[in-house]
This record gives sequence, C-alpha cells and structure tokens, in this order.
Amino acid sequence: MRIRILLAIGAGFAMLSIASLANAVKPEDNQATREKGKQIYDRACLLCHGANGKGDGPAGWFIGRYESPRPRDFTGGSYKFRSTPSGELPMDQDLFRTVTQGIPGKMPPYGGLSEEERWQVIAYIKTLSQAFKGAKPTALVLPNPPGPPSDAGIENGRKTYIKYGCQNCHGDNGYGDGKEALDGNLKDTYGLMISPGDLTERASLKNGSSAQALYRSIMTGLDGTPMPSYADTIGGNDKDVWDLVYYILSLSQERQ
Amino acid sequence: MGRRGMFGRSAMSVQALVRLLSVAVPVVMIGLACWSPLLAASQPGAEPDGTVVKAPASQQMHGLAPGPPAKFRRPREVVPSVAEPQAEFPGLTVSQPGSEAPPTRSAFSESTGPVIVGRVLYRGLVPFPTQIQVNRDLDVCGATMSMATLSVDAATHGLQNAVVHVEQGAGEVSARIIAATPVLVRNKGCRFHPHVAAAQMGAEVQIFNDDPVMHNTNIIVDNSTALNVAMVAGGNPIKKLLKRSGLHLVKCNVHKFMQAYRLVFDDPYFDQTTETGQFSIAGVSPGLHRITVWHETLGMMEKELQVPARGTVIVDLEYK
Repeated sequence: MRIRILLAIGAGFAMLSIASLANAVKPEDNQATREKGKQIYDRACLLCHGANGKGDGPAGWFIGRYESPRPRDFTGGSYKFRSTPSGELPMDQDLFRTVTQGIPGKMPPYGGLSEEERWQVIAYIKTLSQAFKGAKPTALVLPNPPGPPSDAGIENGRKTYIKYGCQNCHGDNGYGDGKEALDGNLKDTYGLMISPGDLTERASLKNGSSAQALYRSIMTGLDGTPMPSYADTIGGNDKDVWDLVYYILSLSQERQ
Repeated sequence: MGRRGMFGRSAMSVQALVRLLSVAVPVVMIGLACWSPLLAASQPGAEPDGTVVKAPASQQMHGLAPGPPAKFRRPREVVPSVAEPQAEFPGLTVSQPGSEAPPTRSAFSESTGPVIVGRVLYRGLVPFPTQIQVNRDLDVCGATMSMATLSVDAATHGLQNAVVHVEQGAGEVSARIIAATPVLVRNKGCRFHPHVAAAQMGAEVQIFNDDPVMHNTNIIVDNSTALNVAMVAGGNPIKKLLKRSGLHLVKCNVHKFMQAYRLVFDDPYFDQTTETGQFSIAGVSPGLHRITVWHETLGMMEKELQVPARGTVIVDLEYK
C-alpha cells in the first residue's frame, strides 16, 4: 500500500519535472550565458544588426536604407514587438517570440537554434543597451480571445475600425492605403518613410496574425512607428477591441 | 524508548522502508531540481543573478511611485541630498521624505539663496506665421493653420518659449522637485497646448483630447518612442510619468502639422521664458555654471555664469 502511494507521488513528481523542462531550458543570465550568446550573435545576427548591435551590419547597409524598417538598433532599447505598454522595454518572452517566429518578409525565424541558444542570444542582446540594466518591465494583461466571432460582432468591429481612426493609415478597406500613407506622411522615429500594414494580407502583419497577436499590437502599439497604443485611452472596452480584431481577420479571409 | 520501539518492530518493515526511500528520495530531488529555476524566476524583485533593484534615491525621497527607473538616469546625475541644500540655503523649503507637498517656484524665489534672473533676447527678423493647408478634419482643424514658431515682444525683443537651464556640477543636484503640477499635453483645435513646456524628470505627463476627432500623441526622445498613445475622441485621458530626460518631440501622425516640445531635465534649475523673454531660476549652488538656452527654431546657446553665494544675478542672453 505504502509502496503504491510513494510510487504514485514519485510518478507525479517525475511528470511535473518533465512538464517544467521547457522552462528549465532558459539558462541563468550570467557571464557564461552572455558569452555563448555573443558567439551565436556573431554568426546569426551580426550580418544585419552589426558588430555592436547598432543595426548597421554589412547587410543592413542596403536593408531599409531609404525606407523603414531598418534592422533593429539594439543600443536604443526600443522595441516594436512587446507585450508591455508603449515606451517600455519588452519582456524576455517577447524577444524570444520574435527570434523564434521571425518577422514576415523582414527577419527569418530562428527556430533552427535550440531554445537554449535563443535564450543565450537574448541574454547577450540585452547587454547592448543600458536600459535593460535593473529594468523590470511589466506586461499588459493580454487575455485569450473570446469565442468565435458573430456577424454582429464583426459589424461592430467595422464601426470600431472607423472610431479608432484605423482608416487614417490602413485605409477604408484595410489595404494599407490610408490618406496619411498615400500622402507619404508616415515616418518612423528616425524620419524614414514607413508603410502601414496591409490588413488584407496576413503576411503583412509583422507582429503576428493570430487574434491574440492582433489584440497585442492594438493594445501595445508598435514603438518606433506611428502605430499608437490603444490600451490606456480605451481601457476596459475589451469587447470593441476583440470585435475589431475579428473584423481585421475577416478582411484577409475575404481575400483568400 | 518509543523511537526504538517504532523502528524495531520487524526487520522486514525496515527493509521495505529503506527500499521505498531509495526510490522516493531521488525522484523528489529530481523534481525539486527541475522546479528550482521556476521558483527563482517567480521571486518578486529578484534578478536572475540575485541582485535586487532599488528605486532611485530621489524617488524614495519624494515618494514618487513608480517614478523614473534607473535605466533612464544619466551618468552625470548624482544621488540627491536633502541635507546639503538646507545647510547652504537655510531659507529654502526642502522636501522631506513623506512631506505633503514639494516646494513650488514661489518658494524658491522667496529664498535667500542666489537667484538668476534675466531675459532671452532676439533682435533679428521675425518671419510672418506660415499658413498651412489642412488636409483632413477641416471642420475641427479649420481650412488653414497659422504656424508661428518665433514669438518676439516688439518692445523688449524678449523671446517667448525659450527654455533656460543652469547646469550643476557633479554632486550639486539637490533632491527638490520644482513643482508637483503635471505636464500637460492637450489636443485642442488640432494643436498641442502648450506648444513648449519644461519639466523635471519624474513629473507626470497628462494627455487630453478635447477634439471630436482622433489624434495620436507620439512622444519621441533620441530617435525612440517614449510614448505613443492613441487619443480616440471621447477616450480616457492618459497619465504617465516622465522617465527620460532630454528633448521630447511631441507629434500627431494623423495631423502632420501638429508638433510640440517638452524639455525634461534631471534637476529643477530651469525656466521657460515669458512673453517678454523673462526667466528666473533659484536655488543654484554658488560657483561657475554653464547656462544653456534652447529654442525650437533658433537652436541652442550657452554661456558661462558665475553665481555668488547670495543675491541676484542678472543676465541677458541674446541669440545673434
């Protein structure tokens, strides 16, 4: 009897241990980790992001020379793809997501690196900006999507699209042809021209095209670009935001 | 007696217990080993390397929460001291930890410490305001916008909306906050109000949209986004703390002609010129200081200034 109980407890611990292995892969952020991260950076990232992380690697010379986006300047401590409020540093998990998934049309996914190697390179990238030193960014609450969208919800999403001024940049029908875009008024923080995402083309959604990724982009904004954060000004109006998310997703479904 | 009796019941049960322990103990240890990174990561306030991040000293003194994080502190900033300015300027009201309200500008001007008063002058040609054609939301913004970036008082040549700052040497920055009043960015009539303002780091910026159209308030510092928030018509106002020092360029991407400036300093030794170009800065420590002037179109100007222990220093700063 006792043996069974103990075996059951032991098996429980073993299962929990296996379940926690995915997180256990993240190595401790110490000197050895950062040095390994630099070795990976030098062979995987340097070409675009440059030897010192200023986004001025040999390939960066012609990537986005006259139009945004350029390769990220890691020394600035400002990131587009975050789960944190506007102007804040990203969470480690945000950097991990970008490294793993890449940026459609811009940066390849680095799933070819092991999880441990991706965490190591992230530990190194964070040393390139003083802003990370002692910083404790806090993520916004990003809930899971509600159930499947209704016709009425998508209709409300269309109204929200206009109310939130999305058409100013993304155009009346989401083609990225809003008046500000066509007039060439949209610039990034370096003064380079930048094009808004074509919402009818999911590959144009650089921060991800899932419902949750769209929700995240709307709430956090994309720092460095004209895309603002809506979290504070519409806080508490979750239903409208989800309706807007499903409306945007419906635009690309129509095209497929 | 009892313990002996418990363990000495039979040889069989002892053997079984030993066997069980030999299986259970390693399993438990493996489980705990795999959990430990998770446990360490979940400890609030602890870095992966075990360091604990403390709030900056100035933030602790003034009870500003969450206040400016250490990441945006400039290297030249030093840990503020409450005791020093009290000793040097006994007439000053110095904010103590937990005190109700920090001193205001008027409190400084009433002090017996040195006061720098002066004017910023411009005797050059003043261009007529530029008329800009508005391309959207004409009913709210109007068909044209008159943009005057240079405002000079005809009688005194005083330049408005220049920002004067007295730089302190290392170790001379006091812990005083110049004013508890928040820095406003009001979207009204497709303009930012006020056009120029100066503030101390750690102050709150409050953003309002009074217009029935959508704006966004995109604040850029050193080519990176400090804050970019959508200001939906009828939406909530935004309240955030100023976490970076330097020139804050405020833009609206929906209305490209909307632009404003906020200058944020690490210390309280600054002032913005009035309509007649006047400014007043109190509480500066005696000695040689560099005084800088910023204006949105005339640029930066600087001058060395000797500040005595007491009295008023009068200085005219002229853009040539």
